[in-house]
This record gives sequence, C-alpha cells and structure tokens, in this order.
Amino acid sequence: MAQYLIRRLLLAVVTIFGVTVVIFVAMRVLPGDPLAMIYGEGQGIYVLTEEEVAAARASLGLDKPLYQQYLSWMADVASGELGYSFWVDTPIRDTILRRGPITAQIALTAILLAWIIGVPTGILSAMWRETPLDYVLRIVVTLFMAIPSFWLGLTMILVLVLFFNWRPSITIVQFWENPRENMLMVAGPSFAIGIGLAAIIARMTRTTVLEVLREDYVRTARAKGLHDWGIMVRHVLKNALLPVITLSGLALAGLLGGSVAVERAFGFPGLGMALAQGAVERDWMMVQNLTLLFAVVFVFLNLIIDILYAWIDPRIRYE
Amino acid sequence: MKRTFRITSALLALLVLLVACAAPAAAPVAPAAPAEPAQPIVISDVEYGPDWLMAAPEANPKRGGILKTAWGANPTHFDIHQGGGCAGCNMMYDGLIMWNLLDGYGSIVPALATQWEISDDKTVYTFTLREGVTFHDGAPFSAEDVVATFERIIAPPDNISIGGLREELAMVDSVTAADGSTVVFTLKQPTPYFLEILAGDNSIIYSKATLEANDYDLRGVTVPPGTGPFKFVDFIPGEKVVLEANPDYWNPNLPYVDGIELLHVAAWADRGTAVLTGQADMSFNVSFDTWTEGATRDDLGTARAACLNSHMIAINNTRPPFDNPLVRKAIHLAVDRQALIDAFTPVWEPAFVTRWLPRATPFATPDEELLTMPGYRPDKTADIEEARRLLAEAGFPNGFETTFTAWTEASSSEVAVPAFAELLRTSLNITGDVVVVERARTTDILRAGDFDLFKADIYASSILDPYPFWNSYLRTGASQNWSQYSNPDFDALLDKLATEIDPDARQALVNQGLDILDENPPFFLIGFCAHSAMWSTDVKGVSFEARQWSKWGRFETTWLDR
Repeated sequence: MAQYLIRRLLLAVVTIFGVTVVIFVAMRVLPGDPLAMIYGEGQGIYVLTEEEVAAARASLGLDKPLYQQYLSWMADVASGELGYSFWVDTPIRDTILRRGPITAQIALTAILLAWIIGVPTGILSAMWRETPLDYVLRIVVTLFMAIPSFWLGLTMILVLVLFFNWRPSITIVQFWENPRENMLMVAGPSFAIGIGLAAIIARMTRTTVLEVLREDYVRTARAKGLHDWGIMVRHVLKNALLPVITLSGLALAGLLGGSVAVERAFGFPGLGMALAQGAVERDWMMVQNLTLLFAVVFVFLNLIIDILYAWIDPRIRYE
Repeated sequence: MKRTFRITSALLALLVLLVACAAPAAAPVAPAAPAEPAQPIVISDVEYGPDWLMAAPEANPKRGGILKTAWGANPTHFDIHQGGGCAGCNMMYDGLIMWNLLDGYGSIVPALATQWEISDDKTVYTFTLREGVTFHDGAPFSAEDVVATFERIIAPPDNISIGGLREELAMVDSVTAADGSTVVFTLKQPTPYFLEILAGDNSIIYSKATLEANDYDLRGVTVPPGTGPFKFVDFIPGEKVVLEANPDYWNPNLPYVDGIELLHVAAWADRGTAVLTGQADMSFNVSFDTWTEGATRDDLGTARAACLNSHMIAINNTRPPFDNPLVRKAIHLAVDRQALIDAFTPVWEPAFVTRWLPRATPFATPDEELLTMPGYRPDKTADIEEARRLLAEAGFPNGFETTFTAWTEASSSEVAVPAFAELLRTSLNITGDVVVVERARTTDILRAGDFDLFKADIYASSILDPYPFWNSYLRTGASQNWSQYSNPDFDALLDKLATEIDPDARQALVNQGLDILDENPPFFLIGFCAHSAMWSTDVKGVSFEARQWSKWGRFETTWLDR
C-alpha cells in the first residue's frame, strides 16, 4: 500500500506539472488580448494603440521570454501567493481563500443532498422494481436528470423574487460571519445542483443494486432467512455503492471548481465565476492558478476514492 | 404586470437555454415597448460664484445610512486615467469642475476650482483653486498636483497608457502653476468643449506625491488618495467596493450618507432583482423585465436616460462591395432601426433612434424632424425602394453574400445581429452566415480588419459635444476608426468644427456633418442606448427625474429617507 501511495503521489506530481505546462501554453496561444481594449461599464470600447499595448504588456512582465514567465509563475506558486490577477494588487490566493470555502460548502451540501435523496430512491426503486412505485420514481428521476441545473436555478430565483420578494445575498457571506445568511445563500445553488445529481445517483444505485441482488451470496443470505432490509444493508449496499462513490467523487471534484452555470443563475461570486470571467477576459494568471488548484483537487480526490475502495471492499488490495 | 414579468422571464430563460444549446439563428423581430423619447438638453448658462457649494435639493436632508448600488463595480485597477476605476469609484476624487448633480447634469459647476477665466481668444483658461483642501492621506492640495496630473495625461511616460483622455486633451499645449492656487491651461487652438472634458468623471486630480512615488503608474496602487467626498475602505474583487464618508470634505454640506457599497452585479437581471428585493437601493441599468416589474411598484422609482454609447454595426469600408458608398447608403436606408431595437430590448435595454449623435446632446436632430427623414422614418417602403435602386446602381441588383459578426457577453449583439441579417435579407437580398466571437477577440478582429459587418459597439462619446468622438471614430486614419472610413469632405468639416466657437455656426457645421454621414455612411448606426434606472423611493437627493442623460457616477448629494 505504501509503495502504491508513493507511486501515485509521484504520478500526481507529473500530472500536475503537465497541467501547468498545458494551461500556461494554452493561455498564450489562445487568440484575443484583453490588454488591447478598455471596456468600461456603459462606456463602450476604447481600443489601445499598438504602442500603448506594448507598454501595458511590458509593465506586467509579459514581454519576457516564455520560460522566464513560467518560472516566475512557479515562484509565485511556491511563495503561496499564486501570483496576481492583471493589475489588481491582491494575490490570487486571496480570491481562492474568500471564494473557496463557500464553493466547497455548496459542493459538499449538493453531494450530501444527492446522497440523501438519490441513494434511498435508487434502493426503493430496485427493491420494488417494475411496480407502480418504481415507475413513478423512474419518471421523476428521468425528469430531474433532464432539467439543467441552471434552469432550475433561474426558476428558483424567479419564484423567490416574485412570490417572496427575496433573493439570496449577492455578495459572499461566510458561515462564521452570519450562519443563517450563509445557509440561505448556499441552499439555492446546492439544491439546484444536488437534485440533478440525486437523480443520477438514484439511477446508478438502482442499476447496481439490481445487479448485486442477483449475486449468489444474496441468494444465500435469503436462504439463511435474513430480512430483505438486513440483506440490503449488510450485503448489497457495500458492493452496490462502489460505482456511486466513484461518481460522487468525480462530481465533487468538478463541483469544487464551481458550477459556472448555477453560479451565474444565482448571481453568485464563486470560483466557477472567477474562472469563467478570467477566461473571457484572458486573465492568464487567474485561469492558470485556478486550473492548477482544480488539477490538484482532482488528482488527490481520485487518490482518496481509490483508497476508500480498499476500505469499503476488502477484496481490493493495491500493490 | 407580474404576469408580464413572468412571461418575459420565462422567455428569457428559454432564450438563455437556446443560446447555450444552439448556434444563433435569425431572431424573430419581437415588438417591445418603445422607449420614452428624451429631449435634447441645453447646457445651462447659469453662473455659480466662488462661494457656491452644492447641497441636496430637498429641505432638511437626513444624514446617515449606507447606500447600496448594483452595477459593474469590479475595477481591474484604480488608475482612472488609464481606464481603471468603476462607476462610482471616481467619488473618491474631484476634478477642477464638475457637472451639477442638482439640475440633471445641465450645467457645469465649481469643484476644486472655485472660478475660472477664459481669454478673449479662447485659448487660455485660468483656474483659481479652492483653499484648504486636503487629500485623504492628509497631504494638502495645490496647483502642483493639478499640473502633475495633467502633464501625465498630455505627455504620458513610456510605462503607462492613458488612451482616450489623452486624445481628448490633445489641444492642451501646456499646464502651468502661476502660483500655489492658480493653474493656467494654454490651448493650441480655441476649443469650445474644453470645460466639458474637464468636468468629466475621468478628469480627476491625483496628488503629485502619489504619482512620483509610483513612477507615474498607479495601476498597482489600491487606492491612490483623492480629495473626494468618499474615502476608500475595501475592495473585494468580483463583489464590491466599499467607501466611507470623508469627514474632512471641503464641502461641509456633503456627503449625507455614512458610506456607499458599490456592489458588483454583472448580470442586469440580478441588478433588477437586487433592487426589487431591497438588497440594493438603486441601479442605473437593470434588465427590461425587472424594470417593467419595478415600474408597477409604489416603493420603487424608474426612469430611462439617454446614454452616450451606441449600438452600431461596423462596416469594413476597405472590403468590396462595402468600399462603395452606394452600398453603405443602401444599408443605411433599408434596415428598420426601430425593429432592431425592438428585437434586443427584451433581452437588453431600449435604445433611441438617432442620427450619428447621442440623443442627449443639444446638437441632436429633434425627433419631429428625424422621424420624417429617409432612413429614420417609420415607413420603410420608399427607403427600401431607393436602397434597391442604389444597390443596383452599385452593380448588385440581386444582392450579395457577406458575413455577419456578433460578439458574446452582450445579448444585444447576439440577438441584434441575426435580426439585422434577416432585415438585410428581406429588404436587399444581402445574405450570409452569422459568426459569434468572444469579446477578447474583438480587438484582434478590428485591428486585422477581419470582418464585413460587425456589431462591435465601438462608437461612444464621453461628452456631449460631437467633435472629440467624431474626430476619434470618423476622421481618416483616426485611432478608433475601425470601419476605416475615409471621406475628405467630412475631414475638412472636422477641421472647421474643431475651433468654431460661435454656437449657431457650430450647430450649422454639425448639421452639415450629419448630412454628409447620411449621404456617405461610415457604418450602420442602430441608435444610442437608453439606460433603465430603478431605485428605492427613499433614496433622495439624486434628482433622478431631472437626469437628462445617463451619467450616474456621483452620489455625494444622495441621502436616505429612513
């Protein structure tokens, strides 16, 4: 196990290095130069002359050779500041520290909600398969799989504004600042994301539970006279939930990067919006650092999921 | 009305879904409520003496409270002369003079200068500065600060890019300090709009010490100290800029509120819902549906104000067949401007049909005359017939194929361009694909001239006088002339307009210019935008109803009736 972990950690370093190189190069070969244009709110567009653009680039160190720019970025990463967004004199680290907790809160709440709703739904659907209950649950599950989360978010906002004259806060309220406001802010996006994810988890749970229910050891358990729920909890779920854990882990990794569509629907300043805005404005440092962060999260969550596998299923051993 | 809001909102949600899922197609030209026509304003001749101080227009204004606004307030940096800042950020600063907040920006009043004299030949402006003013860091304000500020603008060092403001002040020959409280601007030529530029939100004064300490580049400074009614407290990128009242402000009447939170709300619908639900006290441009909903409520006020930036389709004048003025005029005549505006209004905001100038300027052609003119009149029958004749004369009796370019991040573009393409197809059989590009690519495309017809919205003024922006956007070879328009007659007219002081002669020159542009259009102008403002009725002191053009950057006279 220790050897496996070391191997995976080394592989993680290589993967993350590869990501940094790819994103660094990608931002520089993408067409479009944000420095060349001043776009002010309600002020139209002013396009800078080539001399003005050259001055702006030089002031940001973008006239240096690529390897120097890359090394400079890596030095910023090593220092923990992660560099600076174009011209703003606050480190990108501060943006991540402010938006990261609430984005993670939404991701975790959404996953929790998805499990609380999705797993029981999938189990019920499997245990009473081909019954009216199963048909109803499958219709509902298919419906929520089909509804885009951002549409659900927009609809929720409309209902809240029109019927309750209320909407979640537009600026971030951290849990330790005002728990109630924070929970109200997190609830909407978590529900919009979680309900769709719950539908996917329900469907996968139903499929995997049905597969496991056909296994010999389940038949043996029944022959021993165990109750259906006992079989489900002690024998079926442990095996049936492995793919659901994988799915949830990947979903969590994705959600920790923020959901752009849902954040936009709620007017919510999360990490997803920061990345999307950075990409639109070609804010290279913002995009590079957030991509690096997401790569690290993704690689390590995958590693944790693999370790969880071995913990849940003793037959799985890594060498 | 709530039903209207719900239906409009559902349509908007559907539109978002369609835009997300499919390539843009020809948009239906949906009817929408026309914007209320604004009347051109007249700059007041009222003279304000050196002792005059601005105060709220209402009697007994209350003090205290925090004003929350909702619009884009996510400055890339705070060097306002280099294009940084945000609407409202300039309240940390003052200019020498400013627009009067009390009469809806109808007159220019003293700020850091208490009075000014203009020489007979209109080339020397002498400003007497206010005594006892200090910057937020405690440093005294003096003529040296004014000189350092404007010298950086008119002759910027190599490490900075001043851009538009430098072009606007290109007529300034020198700025000198006659003594500690007198500054003299000497112009290369008489310039009738010089005071307008100095009153602009961007013509703010930095301290000489701050400029020198930062090698004249303030982009990395959060935040350079000013003399304004509000001081900087905090900036949370992507969320808000927080300001507090300056207790040492030179005008003891102002400000009334304890502070301002400039909330950064990017989406117009979110701005609207923020005001509807009381999260924000006001916004100067909310979405059409939330504005419509707000107009039904007693606790909210709503208004529309003509703004100085346009909706326009840039035409590449160097590419055949658009190099032929007859083709450009045919397009100018054939396309129904109001139909285009009606198409994008539900997803953006209304706009005013105008004739090459913002509706807010005193030089604009009045509605009653405009709506009888070819190209602008509602009945398109005769215009389309003439346009077809012109196209045939240019050698394209059966139309031709072209490419239409729209940019993302602006629903007006993504809806207007397909609608424009459809109107050109049905009227002149000009057909082609619609290409959608990212905003970040706009500059590359404009620089390379890699477009035929591009809704780039690159025609905006910062002041009411036509000369500076006509000179930047329409003169042969000008820095912002991305349509690459070249018309010697118009260039000659600009030469005269630059220095014509007499108001009547100036209006006559502008009218000649408008005629030239109608006859030989540089691009297709849809109209100038009309911002949809919405505010809580307990926000006082802003003179919203008197606001004749959309300029929302200062709120020192605002007070909260709570």
